[in-house]
Parts: sequence; C-alpha cells; structure tokens
Amino acid sequence: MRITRLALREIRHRHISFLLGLVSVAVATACWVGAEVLLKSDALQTVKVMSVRQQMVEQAIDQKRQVVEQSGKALQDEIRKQMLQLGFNVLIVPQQQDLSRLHLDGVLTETMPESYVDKLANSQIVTVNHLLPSVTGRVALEHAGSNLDVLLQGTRGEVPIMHRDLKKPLLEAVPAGTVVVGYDVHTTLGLHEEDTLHIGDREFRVSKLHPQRGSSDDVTVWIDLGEAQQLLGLANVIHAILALECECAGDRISQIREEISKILPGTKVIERYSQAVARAEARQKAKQTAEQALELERENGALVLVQEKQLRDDLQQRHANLARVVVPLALVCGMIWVAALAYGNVRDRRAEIGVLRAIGVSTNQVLMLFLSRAVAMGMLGGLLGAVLGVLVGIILSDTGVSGGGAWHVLGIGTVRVVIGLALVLAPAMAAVASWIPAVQGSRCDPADVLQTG
Amino acid sequence: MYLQLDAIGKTYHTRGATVEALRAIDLQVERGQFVAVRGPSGCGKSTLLLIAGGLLSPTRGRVRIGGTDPYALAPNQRSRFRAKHVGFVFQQCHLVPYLSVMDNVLSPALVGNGGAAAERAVELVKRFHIEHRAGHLPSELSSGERQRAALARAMLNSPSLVLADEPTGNLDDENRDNVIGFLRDIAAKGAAVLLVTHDVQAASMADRVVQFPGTP
Ligand SMILES: Nc1ncnc2c1ncn2[C@@H]1O[C@H](COP(=O)(O)OP(=O)(O)OP(=O)(O)O)[C@@H](O)[C@H]1O
Ligand SMILES: [Mg+2]
Repeated sequence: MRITRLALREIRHRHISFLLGLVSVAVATACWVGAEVLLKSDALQTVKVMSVRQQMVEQAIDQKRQVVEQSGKALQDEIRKQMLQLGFNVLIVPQQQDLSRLHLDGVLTETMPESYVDKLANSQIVTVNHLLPSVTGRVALEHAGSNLDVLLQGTRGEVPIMHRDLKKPLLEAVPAGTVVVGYDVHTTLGLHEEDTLHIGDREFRVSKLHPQRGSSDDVTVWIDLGEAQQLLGLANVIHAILALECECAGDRISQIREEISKILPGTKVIERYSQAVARAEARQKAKQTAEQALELERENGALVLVQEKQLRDDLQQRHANLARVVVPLALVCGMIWVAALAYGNVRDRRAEIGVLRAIGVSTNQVLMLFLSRAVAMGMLGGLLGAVLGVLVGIILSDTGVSGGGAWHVLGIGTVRVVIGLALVLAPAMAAVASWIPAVQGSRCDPADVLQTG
Repeated sequence: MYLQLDAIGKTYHTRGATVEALRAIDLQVERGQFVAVRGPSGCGKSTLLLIAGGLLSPTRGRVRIGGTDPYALAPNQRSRFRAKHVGFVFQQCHLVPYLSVMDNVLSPALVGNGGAAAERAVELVKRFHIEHRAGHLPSELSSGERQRAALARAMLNSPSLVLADEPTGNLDDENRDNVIGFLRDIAAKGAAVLLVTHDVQAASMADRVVQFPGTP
C-alpha cells in the first residue's frame, strides 16, 4: 500500500468535498487567468482597432490630399489658361510709345533693345515672376484664297529670372517655324493644325489653334520672336516686355512701376487686364482653402484617433480596475474555502489518523496525506481554471471567440507566464491554505482520538 | 521481560475535574506469554493498553518494550518503533472507512515492508474467515467481521507485542475461539500478547489473568 493509493481512495470516498475544493480553486484560477487574458485581449484589440482606425484616417487624408491636389492642379491649370487668355499683368513699353496706337490698332510702334529683357531678368526684381519679350506688327495673311489682316506676335517664351528658382513657365514659347493661330484667323482662313501658312516670304506650320477668347487674341498669330523680328525688320529690338505678376495681391502696380523704371530707364509700365491679379488672388485663396481642408482632415483624423484611443484606454482601465478587485478577492475567497474544507476533512478523519498514527505512520506522512490531497485539488483545479479562464477571458473580451485572432492572446508572454504561474501557484496556494489544518491533523494525539472514537 | 510496566499511573485532566484512571500498576508480559486483563468497565484497561503500546504517555511510572522506553523516543521514532514491534486491536476497531478490508489489513505496510505484506494479508484474511469480504468497505461488514479485520491488520507486521482491546466482544463462540486460538498461536510463536476482555471464556484461555481492581 502506497500513501498515494491511500490518498486517492480517500479522495474517491469524499469526492464531494474534494470537488467543492477543486471548483473553488478553479474559479479563483479562472478569475486570475481570465482577467489577464481579458486585459491582454483588450490590449491586442486596441492595437488592432487603432491600426484599422489609423488606416482609415490615413486613407481619408490621402483621398482628401488627392482631391486637393487634383483640384489644386485643375485650379492651377484653369488659372494658367485664364491667365494666358487674359493676357498679362503689366506691359513694359518704351517711354515714347503712344498708347492710343496700341488701343486703336493693337500694335506698338516704338522699340527698345531686346537686351532689356535680360537686364530685367538679371536684376534683383522681386515684384514680377514672368518676363516675356515680344514684338508685334500688322500683317496681311492669305490662305486658300482668303485674305485677312492680323496681328503678328513674336514671342520668345519666358526669360528666366536669374535670382529665382526656375518656375514653370506660364507661357510656352512658340517653336521656330511654327505658328499659333487665334480663333478668328483660323476660322476665316479655314486653317487646320499642321497646315502650312505663309507669312511674308516664309512658311509656317500651324501648331495650335486657339479657341475663341473674345479679345484681340482672336485676330492674332504667334510665332517665334526671332522670326517675327526678321519678318518685321526689327532685328535685336522688341516692342514690349510682358511681365506677369502672378502672386502679388493688392495695389502693387505703383511698386512695380517704380522698380522697373529704376532698372529700365526710358520705359513705362502699363497695367493690363487687372483681373489677372484677382485671379491670382483667387488661386492663392483656393490653394489656401484646399490646404486648410487637408489640414482640417488631418486634425480631425488625429482627434478621431485620440478619442478612439481614449475610449479603448477607458475600457481597459475599467477592466483592469475590476480585475484588481475581483482577482485578489477570488484568490482570497478560494483559499479561505479550501482551508475551511481542509479543516472539515481533518475533523472527519481524526479517527483514521489516530489509527494510522497508531500503526506507525509518521506525522510527516500524515501531513503528506493532507497536502497531497490539497496539491491534487490545486493541480486539477488550476488546470481546469486555466482552461476556463482563457475561455472566459476571450468570451468577455470584445474579440469574442469567433473573432479572428482571438487565440493570439495566448502568444503573449505575460499571458503564458500567468497561465504557467497559475498552474504552479494553484497547487501551492491550495497547499498553503490547507497547511494549518494539515499540521493540526498530523499532530493530533492518536490516544485522544482512539479513546473518543 | 518483554513488556514491563512499572508503577504506571495516569491522571486525565478534563475541564474542571481530574480523573485518575490508573494508579501504580505493575505488569510484565514475557515473549511467548499470553496475558489477559479483566476488570470492570472504566477501571482503566484501555488506558493501560494505550500506555503499554506507546500511544499514551503515562503520568507516572515507566514503560519498557524490549528494553526500550518508547516515550523517550522522538514522536516519529516512536511511530516507527510502534509500526515495527506493536500490533494493536482497538475496542472500536477503527478501520479506515474508505479502504477495503484487504487494504485496511495492508495499511501497516504503509510504513513497513510492502513486498511480503500482500501475501501475508491474504493469509490473515483467510485465517480470520473474512476472505469473502476482502473487497468490501468496513461499513459493509458486521461488527464481528470488522473486529476480525482489525485483528488481521494488527498482525500484518508480525509484531512482537500484541495489544488487543476486547477483540472478541462481538464474536460468536466459534469465531471467539478462533481469535483467541490465534492469539495463543502468536504467543506460542514468541510474541508477548496482552488481551483485555470481559469474556470469562476468553480469559480462561490465557496463560495468566490479571484482575484489575474496582474503580480507583
Ligand atoms: N481522554 C480522557 N479524558 C478523561 N478521562 C478519560 C479519558 N479516557 C478515559 N478516561 C476515563 O478514564 C477511566 C478509564 O477509562 P478506560 O477507557 O481506560 O476504561 P476501560 O477499563 O477501558 O472501560 P471499558 O471496559 O468500558 O472499555 C474512565 O473513567 C474514563 O472515563
Ligand atoms: Mg476500554
């Protein structure tokens, strides 16, 4: 007969009390493990929820950014087009130019050296962003039997301003040998793209047909500056410099005038199409609005994330607070219950212990008899409790059992440690709880017991 | 002298009162001797048996079992000493309620030689005519069967000192004769046997009968 066999027989005999103890150990263990699983599931869920939210917010911001960029681009293009259609902000012409000629005939008569534009470009000018030298003249065109008087514009494209970063040119140069044709011109002469147009003694390929703009642009053809200079017999001189002051708001025309007259004496500056300023402002405004919208989206996103995190943190905190009360309570109650059952067990077994002591079983063996019972109770209860705890923790967490990755919580180090600890501590705590009754049982005097038995 | 009790006195202190259960008892039992103790109820027979078996330390006097004073030993040593040398049959049997008769008989092997114990247990169960109850729990036995099971248990380790407290109290004549015969056999094989009984018939089979005086 082994002492273990004796212990097992006893457990079978008093199985109700053993099961009651086991259940209390299981409940206490389940509380502890369950709380840990729940808290860690919460944390996992928070990470998951936050990353989903983060993604959502980022997506929303990204969409907004795309919208902003697209609308910004569209707006810019729109403004660019409008700027082109509108013409230019200021026109720099020689001092002696009679402006009535310009308004009456649409052409300029006075010239200035082409080098002026370079001079301006190399200066420290800050009020204008784009410089376009040009010559103009009236020419008669003939095509497919139709005749038309048109304005000839020679342009060189944009002259880069030296002290500035290169900006995207507002106006593209017309390549040599090609001509850009205004609306009335191509409709009257029946011109199509890629057609050949004779101007003076030279041939040009039609590279672009403008839509109707409702201005003198409609009766204008644009060619390369150099070619225009040759055609008009104006080598190395220009009629005007178109200066675009795109981003300058308000009344800065006087400032521009002053600045330009300092650099280019003998010239005068006339403001043309002041809507351009409004447009520029609108563009600036639109850009700002779009950026503000984006910024707002970002701020909202950040706020949503903060709020969500706060919500999750609150939930976790509530669970943690609950666990802080329930877990120790469950452990203490479990131990008290196990101790009470152990007392009952010892009382029930006094006669048996007296006999065992009388036939020579040592106090230590009797102690082992009681403690092995407690340890068995703790081990089985701990195991059951750990399983229950994991299940309950997962069920109570908002992942639920069915939620994907619910079991990932078992991969967390501290959860494993707690489960491992529970499996070790449940028998240990059951043994501690049973210790005093067990010692009392083992110490009871066999004679006392046998006499009263 | 194997069992030697010299001037044994025992006083119980209970709430308020003191009971002098034994006063200056001298008793010797040699190995091979079968001694019966008779006396009225409450005269301290059971108390004497517990003292003789090293289970209850006397208030006064000296106990020797094979020359050893069991009360001079540390508690666990005394346990081991008891397991090895003393076989007890208690008045109330005190079988372990959740062990079968066979396991009860085997229970002294918890501390002793396990191997030979099983064979001896079977032999003892047969000897006391309870082999048909070997697998039963004590609660399923008659008092006589319980008493015989307790006797079988006491004999498992072939103790050199057997202390039996009313082992025949619940037995019919045949079984009584069987049990007393067995105790005689044991004594004949060299054990010191001390029997407490009311039964005149049983006492008459002893080598020596010690008559306890009336209540002190
Ligand atoms: N633990 C105890 N505390 C106090 N008094 C006790 C105790 N055990 C026994 N006694 C008293 O000691 C006396 C002797 O008791 P004991 O059991 O030895 O008698 P007994 O001779 O065996 O009686 P019986 O023949 O009825 O079994 C009795 O008066 C009893 O009341
Ligand atoms: Mg008695």
